[in-house]
Amino acid sequence: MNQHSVKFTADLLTADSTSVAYSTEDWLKKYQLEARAHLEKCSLPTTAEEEWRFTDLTALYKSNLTPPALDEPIDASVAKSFLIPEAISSVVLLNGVYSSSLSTVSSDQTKIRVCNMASAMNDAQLNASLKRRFNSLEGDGVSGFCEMNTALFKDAVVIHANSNSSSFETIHVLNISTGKHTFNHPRLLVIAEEQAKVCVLEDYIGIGGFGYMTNAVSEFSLAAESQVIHVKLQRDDDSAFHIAHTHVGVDQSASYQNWSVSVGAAVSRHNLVTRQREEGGHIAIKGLALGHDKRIVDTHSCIEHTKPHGQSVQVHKTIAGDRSKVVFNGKVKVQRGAQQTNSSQQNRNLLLSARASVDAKPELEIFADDVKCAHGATVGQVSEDELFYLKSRGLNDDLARNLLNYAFAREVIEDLPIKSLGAVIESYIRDQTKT
Amino acid sequence: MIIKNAETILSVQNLVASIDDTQILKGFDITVKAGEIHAIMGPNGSGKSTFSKVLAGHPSYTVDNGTLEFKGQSLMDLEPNERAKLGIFLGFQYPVEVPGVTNGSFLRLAYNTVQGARGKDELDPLEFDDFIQSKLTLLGMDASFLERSLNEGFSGGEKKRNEILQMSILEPTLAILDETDSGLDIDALRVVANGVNTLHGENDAVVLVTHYQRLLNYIEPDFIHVVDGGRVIKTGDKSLAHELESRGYEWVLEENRSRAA
Ligand SMILES: Nc1ncnc2c1ncn2[C@@H]1O[C@H](COP(=O)(O)OP(=O)(O)OP(=O)(O)O)[C@@H](O)[C@H]1O
Ligand SMILES: [Mg+2]
Repeated sequence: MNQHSVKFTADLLTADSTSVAYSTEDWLKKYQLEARAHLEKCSLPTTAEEEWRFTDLTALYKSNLTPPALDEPIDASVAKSFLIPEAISSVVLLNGVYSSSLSTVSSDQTKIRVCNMASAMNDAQLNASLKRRFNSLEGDGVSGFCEMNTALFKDAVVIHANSNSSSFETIHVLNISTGKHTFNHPRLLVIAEEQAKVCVLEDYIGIGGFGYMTNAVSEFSLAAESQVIHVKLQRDDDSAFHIAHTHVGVDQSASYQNWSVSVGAAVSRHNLVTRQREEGGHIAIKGLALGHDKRIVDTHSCIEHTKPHGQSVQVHKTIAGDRSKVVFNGKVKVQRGAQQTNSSQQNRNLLLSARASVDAKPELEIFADDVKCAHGATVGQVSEDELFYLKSRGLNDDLARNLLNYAFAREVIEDLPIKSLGAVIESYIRDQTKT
Repeated sequence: MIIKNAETILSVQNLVASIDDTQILKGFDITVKAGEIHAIMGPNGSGKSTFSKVLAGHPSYTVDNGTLEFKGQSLMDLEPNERAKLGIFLGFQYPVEVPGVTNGSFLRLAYNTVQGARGKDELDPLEFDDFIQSKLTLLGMDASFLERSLNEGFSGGEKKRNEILQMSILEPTLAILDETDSGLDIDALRVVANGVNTLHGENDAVVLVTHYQRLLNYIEPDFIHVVDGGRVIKTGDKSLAHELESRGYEWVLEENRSRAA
């Protein structure tokens, strides 16, 4: 075992040994103690593990992280400038703690309930629902970071969409880090009841924060015929470490649509695991990851079909500039019983610099015989002919390259259901692909 | 039109250029003055498109020798976009498809950069929409072309019209149109020729690269140059085009060979 990882794990556990957050609820306490016990034995992953081969976390493990201060001051107008007009409710978490002054939650909670863990557990019905769905993490894509989160999370955002939520109302969950070399374990739980509809923006930014670690876990549970749109926007500070695990369970004929955009952090890792648990579920994932400067940006996705008639469509695009390292590992699993699965995966990588690297690996594990699975991965560069054509019409080199970079990413972002994010993401592309 | 004492727009002397270490242009000469229309003809592979691209500044070509001047200024060290701002426009033989870049917003960017450099006001999207309408009408193009990705999935003829549309908004001083007539139906040819004629005046010049006399019925050239082996081997007036149409190139090439021998 790697000494840095062991020490880092132990330090984090002791730095926050009092944080078994909800000891009043036995079921949660049990999870937290189990997670802690397991971590004490196993510690966090290193590049020695196949799944983490490309994500070198040595810099993280060597950094001395402390819990964030609870009263870190923040300029409210700066924080609010990140809110989006589409949101009916905005939940702002400041260093992992709910900020009532920055959040605005819709007064109508009958269709979509938005609250924190404590109030969810005070509601008997919601508590029962939580108990069933919380900690759904198992199998592919789980790592010590999940357990770290379970053991140490301070608070969780719970979004519960009732069956009567018939339009895609948008809930913005904005995680703001202001800490310097601090850690933070955000937790999000989204429950969609039968036929419910909801759109969730899971958003990470740093305001004044530096060298901090975001270790996020998000769980989505979709009951039959529900429809969930999930946009994850990772725009943590360029010096931050962002580790995120998203676990999604899709019941009968439910639909999960995901947009995952990574434009921040020094090192980021997103494990996105979606499981079609019953017949006929639909999973659509669009990903965009920008590598610039010396960033490492790693996406590991797993789409698992366990029952017949499932559909999945995945498009993952990356742009690798400067000396960045971009990693994509896209697993598609079709279990024995999952006949008539229709799945496609497309991965396209744009390499902007000779010193950048792209590691792209589609992984198909198919155990059923009557399935359609298409996949393809490409790595390319900006076309000299396209560039010349644009320049011959007067556009300077920067502008022309910018247009082409944006054009490359466009397929992922043009149909984002949260329209105001289009321009936001476009400007990240413009800023981070400058030559 | 040939105008006495007109300003020299383009002066090319003994231009030698290569790509991937293969010399393609081997002493290319041409002089174009304001008001004039020139036609460049010649067999496939003789270097016509190479000349056009070198003129526009394609980075794949290196210039090994000779001079290339626009209004007395050497173009050698200028980027393609700088040449465009000076007023050089290349209508591509094979316009490039650029998926993901919207035609309309691209046209507006091009307009604002090139015309902005000449002191014209930049246009916002609404103003540009108004401005481009008349140009679309002139070229018989539907406004829906603006919404599509630049040239992506355009038919051959639509791409060529889109080139002339770009020319019409950029108002170049020197337009070099590389086989803009190829792939156009008879009506489109008339529309495009009409577009070129409307845009052409005594202060600018047009160079047409073409294989067909037919275009020259609509756009009347003052000079015709025959290119072979990377050089202009014969220059004449418009009657030369008729002669080439009926007799082919062989006699010109032969004439050139015996002169060389
Ligand atoms: N990369 C290259 N390496 C070597 N030769 C090349 C390269 N690119 C082009 N050529 C050659 O340069 C010559 C001139 O090509 P060019 O496109 O200029 O011809 P053209 O006169 O425009 O012909 P056409 O009438 O068919 O359009 C051709 O023989 C072509 O094969
Ligand atoms: Mg040609």
